Amino acid sequence: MGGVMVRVRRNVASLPEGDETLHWYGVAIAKLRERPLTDPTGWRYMAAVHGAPSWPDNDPYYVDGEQQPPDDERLKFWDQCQHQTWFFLSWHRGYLAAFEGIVAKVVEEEGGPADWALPYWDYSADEASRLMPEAFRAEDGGANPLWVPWGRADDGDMAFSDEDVSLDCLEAKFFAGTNSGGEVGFAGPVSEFVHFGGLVGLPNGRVEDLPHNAVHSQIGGLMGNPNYAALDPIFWLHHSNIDRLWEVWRAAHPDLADPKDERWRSDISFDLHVADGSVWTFKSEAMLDTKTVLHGYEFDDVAVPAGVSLGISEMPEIAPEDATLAGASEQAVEIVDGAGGGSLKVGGEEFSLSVTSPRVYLNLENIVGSGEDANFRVYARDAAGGDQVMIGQVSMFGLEAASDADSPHGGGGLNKVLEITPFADRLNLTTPEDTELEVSFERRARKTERPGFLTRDGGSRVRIGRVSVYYAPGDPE
Amino acid sequence: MHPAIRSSRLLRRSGLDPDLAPLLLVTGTFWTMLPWTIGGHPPSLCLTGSDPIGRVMFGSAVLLDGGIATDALMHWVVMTGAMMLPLLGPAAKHVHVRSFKRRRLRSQAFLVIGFLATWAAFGFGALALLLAATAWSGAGPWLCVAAVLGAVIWQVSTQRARMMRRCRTAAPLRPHGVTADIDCAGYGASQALACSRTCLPAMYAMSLSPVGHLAALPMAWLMLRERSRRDWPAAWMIALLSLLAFAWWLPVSWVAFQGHYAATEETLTSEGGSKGGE
Repeated sequence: MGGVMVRVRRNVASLPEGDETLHWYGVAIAKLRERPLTDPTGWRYMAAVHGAPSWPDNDPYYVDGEQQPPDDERLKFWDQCQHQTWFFLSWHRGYLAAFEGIVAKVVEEEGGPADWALPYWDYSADEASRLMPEAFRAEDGGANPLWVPWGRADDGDMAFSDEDVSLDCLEAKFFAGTNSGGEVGFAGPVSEFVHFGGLVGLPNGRVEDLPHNAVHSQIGGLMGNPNYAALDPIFWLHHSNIDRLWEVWRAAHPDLADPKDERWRSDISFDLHVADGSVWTFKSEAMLDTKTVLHGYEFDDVAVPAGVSLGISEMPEIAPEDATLAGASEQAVEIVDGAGGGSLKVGGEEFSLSVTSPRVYLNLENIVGSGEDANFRVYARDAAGGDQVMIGQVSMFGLEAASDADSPHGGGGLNKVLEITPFADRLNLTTPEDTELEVSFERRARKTERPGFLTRDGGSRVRIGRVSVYYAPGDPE
Repeated sequence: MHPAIRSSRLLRRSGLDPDLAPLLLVTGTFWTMLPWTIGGHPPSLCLTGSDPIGRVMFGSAVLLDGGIATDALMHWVVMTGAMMLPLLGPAAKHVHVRSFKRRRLRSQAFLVIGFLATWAAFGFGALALLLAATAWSGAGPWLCVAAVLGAVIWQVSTQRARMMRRCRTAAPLRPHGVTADIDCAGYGASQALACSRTCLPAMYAMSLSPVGHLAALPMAWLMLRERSRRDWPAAWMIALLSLLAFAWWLPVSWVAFQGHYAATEETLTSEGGSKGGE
């Protein structure tokens, strides 16, 4: 066998009859679960790199008498996942590659193929693809290592909606956005190292919002919380698909695919353990070519799906910071047990400071709360009259992690930006008159209950610190 | 091209955010004021005057002296303004973005007021503590030593490293009127509180050193880098700088202490002799 072997990540729905990719994945997971919490190549250690569960009280896999790694090691290697930042894609690419290498090593040691690669779950392909892959659904008398007791439906139907699996993110014209109330970009806003939430109000990027967050929230269980999510074997197939979407976006936008900004490329480095237990330090610029990321890999399909209309090419990689505040709520908006709302005044004098034919964004700032990780539909209406319009969806994935002031996350909460330009006329947001805008939230149903160790006294409470509307100049004609 | 637009583009090209120009201006003013607050002698809280160690050690008069206390406090405010305000950049940006266009300058002003007022309170606290310590059997210098060593240990601890992540949280700001001003000032105060958990010990260490003003610029730069570049060993360098700034002073002050002690002994002996002769 000559040349360099490049692993190929394949669509889990297209694996041929008799293919053993998932069998060997299960074999490796069972082996990795046997490793202690202190082993950097163990299942729980790798999951804690994304986010560490509350140990020991709320860690469902806690074993009496076990030890955690030393404090300085945890500080450096645990709770590292990058969210609400333009490092979201590059950090997760490195993370997945490290995990894939660890699994592949075990697969080979156990007699499996030398070119094992992590498959991906393309839930956006068609209706049938939305079902959770069959191998992950059944307990099989406790013998199925791909099954976990939370976030599963027997028929695999997680009640995904069209929004959950939307690929609108591929139409993003900018790789990165800014934290200015306007465009958030494909990958996320320009930032420094950002673990989960809260830092100076950073919002999700487009691909992180939909489909990434929505899928996490709609599955629920371990997947609903970033500090537990990587303990669910489906997590890795979900992220493999998000990683693939980056390749799809790159293929679709060859003129603006690779960021040239040094702040993204080389200012920040990340540390992970790899299969032999050594530490691998990488920077985002090393994540651009999948064939050279660690062992190297590629996807079997990075074609732009039908129906996705691509944006203009040759745009700057970072969206302009051109949005201005046009109105904000005077009070926080409370959502109790899945429903709630508030109002804000928009327009008037502030509108006249802006431009004609603006792009309009709804911002949900400093969202904090507990007992909640679901998707919410967002509705709005002009209080002076007019129909209620569904203007989008937000996920509460990571809400608790971002709300806890005593955690490393800072407690500043989540931030969301929804572009509502298509609804602006109907909501009377494009006239110089004041508009009293009513905004309401409704939790979406899902198939699974919250795990007991994540259930909170007092039920579900969410507090949106401020709801605001921003205007930005419209696209050039 | 309008001068404001030209300046804005120049700032951006140099890597600085023009939205933070007001903050930069205020910070620059504090740096300019810094040498003036030194006044030709070491401006530390512990050491004020030509024979500082003795004055602190042998009587609370040094801190009961209103002029010296005011100087020390003024120096503290200017030093924290110069060194800490650059760390307020992300918060100032948050306030800028989350305010109506016409209120942005005002919002940043209230943010800075809240931030500096809280830091000034920490200065008052330090002075009060030092006053109490010196009044209590002249323990001031030992408090200084303990503070600096404590700052160094805290600086390199993992607990502090975790708290670093909390320094840049955002807060919701009401949009209109006095309530908006209150929210901005409150946000500034909360930023100062968060910042104090990671930086206050180092700032105390700097203020306790007579050469603290010389280390202020590299220290401020290190603190800024520490927040933006997690892979950079800035925390250890800050600890080292704190230690060096203080270690440099120790032998000097020890000599001063010996001299003052000898002089005091001589005075007491001669006073005793005079009384005995009367």
